[in-house]
Amino acid sequence: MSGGLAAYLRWHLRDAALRAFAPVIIAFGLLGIPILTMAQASGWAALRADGDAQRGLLAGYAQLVPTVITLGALLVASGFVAADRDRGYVRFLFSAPVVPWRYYLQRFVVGLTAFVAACALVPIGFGLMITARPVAPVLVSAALYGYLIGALAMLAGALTRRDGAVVLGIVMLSSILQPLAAQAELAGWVEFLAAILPPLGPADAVRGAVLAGRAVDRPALVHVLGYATGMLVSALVLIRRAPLVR
Amino acid sequence: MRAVEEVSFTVGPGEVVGIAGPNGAGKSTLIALLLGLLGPDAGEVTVDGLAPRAFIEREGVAYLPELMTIPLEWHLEEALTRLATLQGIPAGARAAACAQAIEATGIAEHRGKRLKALSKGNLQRLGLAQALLSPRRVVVFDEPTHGLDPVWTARFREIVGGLRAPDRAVLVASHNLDELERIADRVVIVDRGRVQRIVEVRAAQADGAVRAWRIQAAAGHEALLAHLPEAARRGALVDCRADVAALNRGLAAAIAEGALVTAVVPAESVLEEAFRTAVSG
Repeated sequence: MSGGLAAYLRWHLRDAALRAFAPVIIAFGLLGIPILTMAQASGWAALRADGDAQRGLLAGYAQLVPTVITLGALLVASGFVAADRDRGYVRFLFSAPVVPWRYYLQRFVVGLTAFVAACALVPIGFGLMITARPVAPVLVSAALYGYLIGALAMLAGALTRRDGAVVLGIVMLSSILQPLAAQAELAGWVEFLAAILPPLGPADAVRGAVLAGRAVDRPALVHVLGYATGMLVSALVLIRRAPLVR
Repeated sequence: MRAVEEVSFTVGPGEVVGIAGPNGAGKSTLIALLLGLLGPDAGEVTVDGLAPRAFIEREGVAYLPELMTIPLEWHLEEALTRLATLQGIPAGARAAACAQAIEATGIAEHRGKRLKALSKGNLQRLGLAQALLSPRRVVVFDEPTHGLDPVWTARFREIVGGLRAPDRAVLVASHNLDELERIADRVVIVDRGRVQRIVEVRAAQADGAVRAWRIQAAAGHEALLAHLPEAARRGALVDCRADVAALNRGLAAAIAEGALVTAVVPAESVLEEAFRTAVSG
């Protein structure tokens, strides 16, 4: 790593922290507002002592965490490479003695780390307001999902200008087709399509197991990590070899 | 469609070379090739014997693009600090390098402003400032005076003059021929993606070069026509083509016969003339 790029880490950290907090703020908005409303009506002590209210809030929390992780990963990852190219930032960034693929790899790692750290605030915040929730499963789930979506976004950004729309389309298509393919007989080409798309279905299954504290399906985990790594490496190779401007 | 083809020229250390051409001639594509942002389909681009990206990844270039394309939510000082960091300027020297570049480009009063609050000219000065952050062996300016007022256009020429160094190659792409004629040693004229002509500006400006002149006279036009080479009358003016010595001999002879000369100016700059013939041909 060049000296300039290593020193630039603090700017990457700053940028990543600002982006990573956006989904967490949305999460607090979605869950925090009902909690605050309830607490205002009955008081914090009564809310914490109310078993029914707690069960309802825990159910909300269980639904919210995967949503925050998915939306957060999409928000954090979009525009990762494509925006720099589209807006012409690459002209400034890469007239400096910096290797572009290393720059984006550093940005990816820092962005993923910041996203995972920001997601930890959701169980911590919930614990402070209502009742303690384990942080580690949220961290693991966020890391897995952030890695998969981030790698997909990086590859989409290396290939196209419209990376956000491409990633969203692929995520939606995968999320619909892969669970269907796992449960029912589909036409051959649909099954093939479901098999070659990024493994959002297996990632959902792994995340569900991690968050519920169940045993993780190892082949599914390997599939997700392997696919994500393949996309990340492909993206870095493309950044290295393809023209930086279009 | 090919943006550029059959382009061949070199820029040596110590030289300031211009690239001139009409809009869409291929100037920006040439610069993108030189910076390794694009790769050639055929042929080779090298910087100090290396592929452009290999050279830039090793030591960087000072580059000012036509438009300042950096995130506009950044503050001016933050933008310079970020770019200084990426350029590998050590932490201890970064603040001084930024302060010096800010001073040289006269943008100190905008130090704390967001880039979106800056005028086009001030953004261009910021672009110039970041290009001056660290001494590079290769300097590339793409339409550098775009958006600059006349005062800063003149100041830019001084800055380029200050950048001349025996181990430094400076390349300036511009459609402003007057500017290129003042700062460049050679100008590569590009049109329709091809090099149309390479003009040795300094040599063409030398006394021995034949140039077009326009002479204004109050009397004695016939004497001027008789003694000046390739002379033709246009009302109160006489146009001719001559080197400086022949021009002076002709003028002296005409004045001796009663010509009353009020002004002598180049009819067209060396570069304008070359550009016109290269691009129209």
